[in-house]
Amino acid sequence: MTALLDIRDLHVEVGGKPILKGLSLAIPAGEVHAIMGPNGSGKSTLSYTLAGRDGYEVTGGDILYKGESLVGLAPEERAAKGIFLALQYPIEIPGVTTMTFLRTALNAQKKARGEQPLDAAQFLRLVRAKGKTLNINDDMLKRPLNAGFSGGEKKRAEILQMSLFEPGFAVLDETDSGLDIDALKLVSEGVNALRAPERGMLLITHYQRLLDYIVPDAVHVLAGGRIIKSGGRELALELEKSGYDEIVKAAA
Amino acid sequence: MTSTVALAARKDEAADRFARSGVPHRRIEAWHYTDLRAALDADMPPAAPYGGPLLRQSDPFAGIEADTLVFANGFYRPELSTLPRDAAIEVVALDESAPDWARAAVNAAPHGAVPMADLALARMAGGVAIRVSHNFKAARPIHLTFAGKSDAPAARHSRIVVVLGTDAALTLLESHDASGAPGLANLAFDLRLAANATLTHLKIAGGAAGETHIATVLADIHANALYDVAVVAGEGALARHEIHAALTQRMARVRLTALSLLKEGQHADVTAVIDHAVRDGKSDLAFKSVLAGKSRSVAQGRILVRPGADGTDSKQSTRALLLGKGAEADAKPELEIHAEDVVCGHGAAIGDLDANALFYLRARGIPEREARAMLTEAFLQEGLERLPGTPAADAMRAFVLMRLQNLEAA
Repeated sequence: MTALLDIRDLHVEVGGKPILKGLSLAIPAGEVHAIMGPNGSGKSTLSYTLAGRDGYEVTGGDILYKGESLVGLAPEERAAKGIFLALQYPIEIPGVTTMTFLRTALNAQKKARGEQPLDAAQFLRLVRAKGKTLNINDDMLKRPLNAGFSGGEKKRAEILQMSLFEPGFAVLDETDSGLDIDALKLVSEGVNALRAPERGMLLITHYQRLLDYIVPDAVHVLAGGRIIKSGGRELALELEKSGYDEIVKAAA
Repeated sequence: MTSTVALAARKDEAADRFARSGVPHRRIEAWHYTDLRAALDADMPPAAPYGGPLLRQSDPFAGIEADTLVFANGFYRPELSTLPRDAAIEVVALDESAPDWARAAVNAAPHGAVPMADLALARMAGGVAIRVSHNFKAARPIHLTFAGKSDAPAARHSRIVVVLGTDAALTLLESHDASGAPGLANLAFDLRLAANATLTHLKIAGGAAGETHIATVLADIHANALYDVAVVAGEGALARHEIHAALTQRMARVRLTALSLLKEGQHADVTAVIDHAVRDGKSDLAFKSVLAGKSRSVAQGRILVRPGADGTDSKQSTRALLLGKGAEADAKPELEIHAEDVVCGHGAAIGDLDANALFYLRARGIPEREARAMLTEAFLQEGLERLPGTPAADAMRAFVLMRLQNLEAA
């Protein structure tokens, strides 16, 4: 079986400095994988590289999505193909309302895929329905994007985007950071609702707490720019108990 | 005292002062970033009167319900103007036959060195004086529209007096025709706001391509009165809008919003000199520019807080978006504070669009060009939100967004 997302021996440099040094990872459709790792292991670099951010230079290896390489594609092209990155710190954009942003983004993706864009009324119905389960009302949608949103509101807005865009593969970068338990539950329910046989997800997290709520099919440990250990759900619990040091040492 | 003021005497004084100062140049500190002497043809003749018809199709305020005062080549054209019907608003030509209040308001309180205002008086082709009676809140704006109709570059000097009585309110619209030969449009305003008066001044500094536009506002603002001015750059090679506001009674206020969207070769300077003469005055200056090509914006905010002017609340922010490689933005906040209990803030941010925001929009599928346009509009939106919620302000907002589209298409 070919994986939905297949990362092969990936080498990435940022500002001339190697960060990812031969990372390989395959995630089949329908599965949720978690990547855990200490600070500085390359977790954020991996998420930005998958999304195609400028300055994250792939110097070796490949990223295949549905068998096609993503390397060299612009962020907007990857988004249209179905790659979604939920940011650890969603950006505040005063002057653009959340509603306008969501509609522009959704229709830009549809246009790139040759699909019919939604008109204002269709879009409003859709976004209201999707927002309801995440406790996002019209009031919040009328506010400027993420500007003045609480940590929980920002993460809920990210998950709303994910449910609107219906990506084929989602990367969630430290989605649990800055959330209290109630917000974490709400966000996790949103993510779990989006688990689907044709969709893959990658959770990037420092703490195993998130994995109590979004239970992964596999857990990988990232250190020094490579996956040093993979296992099931129990690997996260082991990490929680013994810390990263021991596993890193054992792998060295 | 009811002594009559001879306009001729004021003109002579202004001519003397200008003869000593000459056209301002870069070695004068207040004009360091805008070298008018280098930009201006010293031999430019005054424009001759123009008596022909005027079209106003391209005027962004043309569709707004307003009383319109028309100027051609600097001369007031009463026969083309529509005067306010309400007796509470007086509009008269500014000449020796004008009533005493009109002539007395001209250059009444000296505001330091204002050479171009002196020139506007000394060589005045025409002018008007507007007075609104106390307690009268004018519903219809007064629209000052200026056209240049010379075949060759010529100078057009005009002087405008606005006197608002206690509790009076007026909206002043100002626009400039973009046809005709480039030259110099030089305006000066004398504004006198009595207690609790509000003057809203919405200006589109236009002119033909290659034109030089200079305006000097001399404002005397009394207790709790507000001068709320918005200046939007239009066509024209060089524009400077200079405000001298004296907050001479308690709780006097001035609020400035400057929006300059400039294309290749344009230079726009907005300069404000705020004199907090007594306590509890408020000044709020926002300079925003979007600069394409090799254009340049200048934002100068000089705040003087005199001894005893405690409770002064002053803020200014300068933000410039440099889209063009050779674009330049100069921000010069100057604070001179002689009182203890004051709040005076200033901040400046000059640069490209935020890389994080740009990535975020693109990662959501919005193509780079569109993402840049969205962020640029969002940048301007913060300035546009400061304008009032009136049809005239809507027209101004539409004008700004249209200029933005043209800038992006270029």
